[in-house]
Amino acid sequence: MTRLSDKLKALGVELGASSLQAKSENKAAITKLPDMVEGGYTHNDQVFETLAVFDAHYRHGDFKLWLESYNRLKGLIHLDFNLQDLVFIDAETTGLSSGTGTFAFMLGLGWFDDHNAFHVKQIFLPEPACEHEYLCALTEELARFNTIVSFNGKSFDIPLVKTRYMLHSIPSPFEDMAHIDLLHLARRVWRYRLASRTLGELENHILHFTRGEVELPGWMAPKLYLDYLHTRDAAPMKGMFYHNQMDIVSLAALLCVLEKMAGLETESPAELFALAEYLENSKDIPGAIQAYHQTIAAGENTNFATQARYQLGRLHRKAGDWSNAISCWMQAAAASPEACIELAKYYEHQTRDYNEAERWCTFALSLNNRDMIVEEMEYRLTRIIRKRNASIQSAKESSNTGNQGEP
Amino acid sequence: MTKHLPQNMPRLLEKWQTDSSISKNIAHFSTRPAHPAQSLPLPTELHPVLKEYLSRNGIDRLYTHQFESWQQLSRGKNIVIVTGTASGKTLCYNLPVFQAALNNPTDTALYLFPTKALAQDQKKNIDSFASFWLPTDKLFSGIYDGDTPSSQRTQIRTSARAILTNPDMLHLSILPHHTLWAAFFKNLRCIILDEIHVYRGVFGSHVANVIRRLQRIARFYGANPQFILTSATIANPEELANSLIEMPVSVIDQDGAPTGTHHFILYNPPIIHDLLGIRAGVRQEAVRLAKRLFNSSVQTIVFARSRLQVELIVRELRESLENSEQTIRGYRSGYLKTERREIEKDLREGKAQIVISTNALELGIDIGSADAVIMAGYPGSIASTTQQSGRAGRRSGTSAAVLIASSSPLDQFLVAHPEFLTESSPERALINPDNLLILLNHLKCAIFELPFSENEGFGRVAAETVQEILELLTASNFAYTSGDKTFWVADQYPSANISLRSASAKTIQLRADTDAQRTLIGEIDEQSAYFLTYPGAVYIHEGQSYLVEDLNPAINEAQLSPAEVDYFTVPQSEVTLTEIETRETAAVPGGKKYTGEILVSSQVIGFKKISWTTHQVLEVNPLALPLQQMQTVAYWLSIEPQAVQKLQDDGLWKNNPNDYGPHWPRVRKLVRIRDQHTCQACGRKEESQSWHIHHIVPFRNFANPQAANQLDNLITLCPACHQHAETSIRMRSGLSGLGYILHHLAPLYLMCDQNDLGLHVDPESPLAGGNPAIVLYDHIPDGIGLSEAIFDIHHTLLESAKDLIKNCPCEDGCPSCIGPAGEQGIGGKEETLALLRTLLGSQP
Repeated sequence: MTRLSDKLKALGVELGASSLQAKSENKAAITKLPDMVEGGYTHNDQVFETLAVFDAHYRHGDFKLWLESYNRLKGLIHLDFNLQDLVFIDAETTGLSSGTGTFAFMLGLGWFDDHNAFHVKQIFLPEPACEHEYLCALTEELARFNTIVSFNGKSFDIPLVKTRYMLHSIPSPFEDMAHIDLLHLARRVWRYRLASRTLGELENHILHFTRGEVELPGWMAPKLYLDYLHTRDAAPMKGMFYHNQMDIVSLAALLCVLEKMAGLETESPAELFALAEYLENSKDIPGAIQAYHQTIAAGENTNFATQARYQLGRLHRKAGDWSNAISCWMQAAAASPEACIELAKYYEHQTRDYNEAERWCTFALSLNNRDMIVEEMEYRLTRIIRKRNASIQSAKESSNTGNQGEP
Repeated sequence: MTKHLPQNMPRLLEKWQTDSSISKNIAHFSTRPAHPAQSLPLPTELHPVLKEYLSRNGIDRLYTHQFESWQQLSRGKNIVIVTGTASGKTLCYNLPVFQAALNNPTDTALYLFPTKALAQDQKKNIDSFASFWLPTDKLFSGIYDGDTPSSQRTQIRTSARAILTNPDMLHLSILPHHTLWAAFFKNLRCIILDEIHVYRGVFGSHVANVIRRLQRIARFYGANPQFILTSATIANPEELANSLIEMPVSVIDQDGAPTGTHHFILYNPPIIHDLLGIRAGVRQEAVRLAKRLFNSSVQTIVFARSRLQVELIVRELRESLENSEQTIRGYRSGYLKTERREIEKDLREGKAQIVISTNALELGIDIGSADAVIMAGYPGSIASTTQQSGRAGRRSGTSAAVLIASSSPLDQFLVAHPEFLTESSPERALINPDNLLILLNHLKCAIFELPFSENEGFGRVAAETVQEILELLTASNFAYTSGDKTFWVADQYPSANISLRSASAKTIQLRADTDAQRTLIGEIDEQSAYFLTYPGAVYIHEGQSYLVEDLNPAINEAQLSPAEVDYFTVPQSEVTLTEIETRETAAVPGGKKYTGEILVSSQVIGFKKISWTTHQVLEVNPLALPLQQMQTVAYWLSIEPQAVQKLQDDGLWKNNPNDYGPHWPRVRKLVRIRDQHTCQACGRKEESQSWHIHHIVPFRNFANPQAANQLDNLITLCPACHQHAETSIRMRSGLSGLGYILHHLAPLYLMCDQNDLGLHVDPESPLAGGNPAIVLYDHIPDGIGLSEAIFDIHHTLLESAKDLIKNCPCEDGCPSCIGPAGEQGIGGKEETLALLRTLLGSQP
C-alpha cells in the first residue's frame, strides 16, 4: 500500500491521509442523529426520518403557508391541482454535477393535511449502502401525491433521483406526476425587480424571512455529509437539516406569493410589467392588457409605464384598434423612440399624412435616446420626405391635367 | 474541365527511369502487380432487404476479407480487420450492423472514430442504407459528439440505434451519464473501433481504459457486445487489439479487393554539400515531380509535413503552371468545413488535378482515388506512409507513390531499407493501460460511473490493485466505502479534468493569438512542456507552427504565436539520472543492457535552432527553467571497461596522423618548454623521449592549423595520459554518436515520436556502476512501454544502426547518421562504428 502511494507521490500526485481521518477520540462527544434531530430510524435501520409540522397559523416572513384558492395561479400556468395532492421537494446532494456519481443524501418532502397544517418530512441516508431502502422509503411517501413542486427540480433534483432509481433497477415514482418548477416562474416574475432570483434572494426580498442562526449554506452540504460519514457526529448536520427544512417551507410560501402575483396583487411596476410580458407570451391578451394598465397605474413616471404604454399600443394595433393604439403611443412618445417609430409608421403607411410622419421622426431624433438606431430613423425620414415630395408632385400634375380640360 | 489520363502513368514512369535528372535519385522502385478481386457469393443468411440494398449498389459478391469478417462474427468472435485503404473495410463492419437492425429492431451499435470528420463521412454510408429501408422520418443513426446541438441530444439518445462518436465524448459525456443511455446499452450488440493504430502511446493507453469503463457499464446493463476493430498495417495488430479490448480477437488481413498495378518509388534528393551531408530540399523536388505529373494529366495528391509546406507548394505550383487556380488545391484541417467538402468532392469527381495536403487526408475520408501520390518527406510512421500511398490506385490501371526522403537519419535509413515500407513493417503500436497515473484517473471516472464492489477488478487489473487505489482515493475524500461497495463522494466531475492525450499530474494550456483573440489551442502535460514549449521553441500543432513566447508554469499556461519559420528547435538540458529499481538485465557483447525504473532530474538550459532544409545548427540560445523530476521507465546500455580497453589495444581507434601544419615541430617545442617538459596531468617529467602535445579542443574542429595550434589549446602530456585523454574523447564521441542514432531509429520500431523518448549519454553513469552508458527513457511518468520494448529489440536496433552508419556516404558523421559534425569536437563516425561492432560482437 505504501509502495503505491509512494510511487504516486513520485509521479506528482498528492494523495494520502485526509485531515478527516482523525476520528473523534471521545466517543461520548459524538452526537447521535436521533439526539440531535427529532426523528428515528426506519426500514430496518437503514433510513433516518424526521417529521415537523407547521400549524395553519404559522407565518413565514410576511406570508402564511397556504391560501384558500390558487385559481389564478392555476390559470397562469395552465395546470389544475388540489393543495393536498401537492408534494414540495428539495434534495441535498453530494455535488452539483449531473451524472451517475452524484447522489442525494437528504430528501425533504412537504405537504398540507386537511387542516392546512404543513408537514415536512426529511428522509436521510445514513450510509450510501442503504440507498435501496432509502429509495423505497421515498416511493412510499410519494404514492399519495400527484404533483411535485420544486425549485430547479426539473433540471436538477428529479433527474438526479431518477438516475439513482435506475442504478438500483427500481422503477421511478415520478413517471405519472406533474411538476411545477417555481424557478421558471420566479425568473420571469421577478426579472426586473431582483438581480438574482435564487431561493435565498426570494426569501429575503419577497418573503422577508430571515433564517435562524443554526442555518448552514447549501454549498457546504457535500462536505458536511462526508464529515458525518467519517465521524458519525451528527451535531454539524443540524444546520443541514434546518436548511433543507426551510427550503421546503419557503417553497410553500412562494407558491402563495405566486398565486397573488397571478392575480396581479402587487404595487410594484417591475413585477406587474414582468407579469404582463408573461401573460402576453402565454397568449392571454386580455390578461396582458390588464397587467399593462396596472403597471401604468402603479408607476406613472417610471420606465415601466412607458414600456407598458408602448406594448399596449402594439396590442391594440394587433387587434385593429388604431385609435387606442395611437393614444397609447402618443402618451409614451416623449420617453420612447419605439413609440415614435410606430406613430411615424402609422402616418406614413396608414394615413399617408407625411407631415405628421415627418414630425414624429424629427421628434424621435431630437430625443437623443441611446436605444434608438439613428441611421434607421434618418433613412425613414428621408423616405418620408421623398414620398411627400412625390405626392405633392403628382397632386400638381393631376390638378394640371384637370385644368387642361377647362375652356 | 481537366481530363484525366491515367493511361499516361506507365509512360511517364518509363520516362522517369530514363531521365537522368530523376533516375539517379531513385533509390528504390518496386512494383506490386495488379490482382483481380477474390470474392465469394453473398452469405445465404443475409436478410433479403439487405441483399436487395447491396444489389442496388452493384454488390452481388463479397471480397474474401468481407466474407471472412462475416463468418468470424457469426461465430461470436471479435475481429480486427487489417486491410488497405479502399478495400471495402466499411462493409465489413456495417454489414453485421445492418443485418442485426433488420432482424432485431431493438439492437444497437456503437461506432467509435478517432476524428469527428471520419464520423461525418461514415454516417453517409449508414444513412444510405437507412433511407433505403426505413421511412424518412425515422431516425436510425446519430452522431453524438461535441458538435451535436443540445436540442437534438435527447432524441438521438433515446431513438438512434447506431451511435457514432469518439473516445473523448464517450469519456466526458456518455459514460458518466450512462443512465440516460440505459436502453441503448441494454441492447448493445456491437462496438466498432475504427483505425485503432491511432490509439497508441499515451492516447492509446487512455482509450484502453475508456473501453474498460465502457465494458463495465455494458455488463451492468446485461449486454455482451462484440467488437469489430480496424487497423492500418502495423507489426502487431493482434497485440494492440488485445490490449485495447482485453479479449481475444481474430485477425483478418488477407485483402481480397482488386487492385491495379501499383509502383512504390523511394526518391533520395542528391547531396549538394558533401562534407556536411546535406541533400537538396524535399519541397523543391516534390514540386518538380508534381509538375511533370500535372503535365501528363495524372491526378495527384501531394502530402506535406506541415501547413506551411502545403501553402508553399500550392503557391509554387500555381505560379509555374498556367490556369491552375481551380485544378491545384490545398487542403488541411484549418480550412472551413464547406471548403473541405468541396475539395473532397472535386477529388472524387476529377475536377481537382493536384491536391496538396497535410496528413488530414490520410485517414479514411472518401475521396475516390488518385493516380499518384507524392510524400514530401517521411510521414513519421510506416503505417502513415502506407495509408498515404494507398490514396493512389484505382481498381485497375497503374498508379504510383513516391516518397521523397529528407536528410533526417530515419528517412535515410528507410532509403537503405525499403523492405520496411514495402514488405513487412516493424512498427509496433504500444500502449500501457496500467500506467499508474492513467489508471488512477480512469478509476476515478469508473467509481463515479458505478460504485466498485469488494472483489471487483478493472479490466485486467487485479481486484487487489484496484482496492489499493480505492483506499488511497478514500483517504483523499474522493471515495467512501460503505458496506461492500466503494462510492464516489467528491463534489467533482472527474472526467472533466482528465485529458485523454496527457499523462501527468499537471497540464499546461497552450494559448495562441488567432484572429486577434487569445484562444486555447491545446494542452500538454507539464513534463513535456519544458521540452517542447520552452520560450523560443518552435511548436507544431495540427500542422501549424508556432513560436513559444512565454512559459508560465505557475498559472499552467504557455503563450504562443503563429509563426512560419524554416527551422525547428531542439532543447538542451542538464540531466541526472538516478536508479530506482532495475527490473531486468542481460549481458551483451562488451557490456550489459538493462531496463528498470529511474528518476530523471532535468533542467532545460538552452536550445538549438536547426534548419529544416539542411539540418544544420543555426543558433544556440540559453534558457533558465526550473528543475524537473520525473519517475519513469528506462532502457540503458553500458560498456565494460574491458571492452573500452580492447578497442584501444586493438588499435581500432586509430590516432590518424593529422597534418598539423608546417609549423608544428616548432609549436611542439614551444609548448614543451612552456610546460617545463612536465606532463600536465600526472606531473611526471620527461626522461628519454619527448612527451606528446595534446589539442584540448581537437584539431579537426578547427578551420585551419593556426587556429588549432594556438598555445592555449595545447598541453604537454605523457604518452599514457595522452592516450587516456584521447580515449576519453573517442568514447565520448562514440557514445554520443551511438545515442543519437539509437534515439532516431527507435521510433521506427516503436511507432512513437522522437519526443516520446528521452536520451542521456554519460561516460561515467551511476546507472552502470560508473561505466559509460546510453540511456533511453519514456518521457511519460511511469512509462508507456517504449523503453521495455527497446530492451526486447536491442539487437535489431543496433544492427540497424550499424547498417545506417556504414552506408552513409558522409566522411566523418553527419545529421543523417550520427549527428551534426562538431557536436563533440570531432565527427565520431569511426568511433561509433567501432563501438557498435563491439556491442554486436562482430568482427571489425
